Amino acid sequence: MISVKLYLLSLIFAFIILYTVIKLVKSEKLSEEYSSIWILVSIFILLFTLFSNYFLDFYAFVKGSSGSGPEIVLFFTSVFLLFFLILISTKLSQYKKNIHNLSQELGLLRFELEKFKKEVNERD
Amino acid sequence: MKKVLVVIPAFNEEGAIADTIESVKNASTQDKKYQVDILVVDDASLDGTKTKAKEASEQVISLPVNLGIGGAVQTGYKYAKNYNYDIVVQYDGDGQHNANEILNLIEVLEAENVDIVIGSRFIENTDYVPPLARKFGMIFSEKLLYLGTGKTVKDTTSGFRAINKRAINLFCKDYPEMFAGVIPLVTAFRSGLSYKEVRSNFKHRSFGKSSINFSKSVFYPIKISLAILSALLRIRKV
Repeated sequence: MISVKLYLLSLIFAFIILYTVIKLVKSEKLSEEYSSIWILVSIFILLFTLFSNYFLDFYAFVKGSSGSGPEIVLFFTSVFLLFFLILISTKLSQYKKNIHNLSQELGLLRFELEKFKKEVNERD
Repeated sequence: MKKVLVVIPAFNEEGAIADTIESVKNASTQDKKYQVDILVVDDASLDGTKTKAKEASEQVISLPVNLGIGGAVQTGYKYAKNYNYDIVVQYDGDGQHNANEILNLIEVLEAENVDIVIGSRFIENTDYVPPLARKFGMIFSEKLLYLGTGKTVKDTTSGFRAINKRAINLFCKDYPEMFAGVIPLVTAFRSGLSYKEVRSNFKHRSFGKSSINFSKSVFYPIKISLAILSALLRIRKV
């Protein structure tokens, strides 16, 4: 069993995350794609707090001996963060590729435009 | 008449770019067999490269952000594809190549019927003597390229190359920002493109600084190994 203090703390924590995410989505600072992940995370923390006993049992079953609350939180957090970082890296790579192609396209178009302008000026 | 585009990527080369363009112009007008055009790609230089280049040539593309030499060269390939050029010659903007050798590269490309011709400092004795750290890096990437693709290229970092349409199409789709010397070769060899190295004399840099320095060369073996590995893992485009 986890202590009442820890229970309340993680409840508050879950609500703070949920509140922050909703606020960020409302102000359009967080895209739907990422907000869905963070909403899921806050829901997960909420569920984890409410049904911590089951999680503790499951973790103890996997590990072979019982683990403490913080240990489990640390474990799940690390796993989550690792996957989240991979996701962020793939997104960054995609954006970098887009910027790369857009810059080249912009350079080529600017060149065409200057050439075109020059031709028009010469004709006039 | 075949259309040839000489792509000159330049980043902070204000001291050398005008002479480079001039020498390529002089060399290309001598030839009547090919229609040779020059395209300078200014990779968002911080100095007066863009102005100097525009004074010397009408064909200057300036990129809005710095993409690295790979990104600049690829812009040239995309231009060549748009305008249906038959051959592209990549020619560094720092003036270390010999413009009179451009024709030689093109002729070898045509005569030997290969996809890529590399101007090489090392297949025969040339005057070029690289600094120790750079020499190590060059040998390292040569061996890695051999391990990964089974092909031997003596001068993997040479920025003096001629390529045909097949290679232009491939490089428009897939060209790296980092290690723009060796990685395109990995991509090309995996796609079954053929190559030949020809002897080329490189001059010492007359102006500007090379992009390779000591702190970079310490991490170079690790970084290039990983870069080649990921290039090998990528799905083939052609």
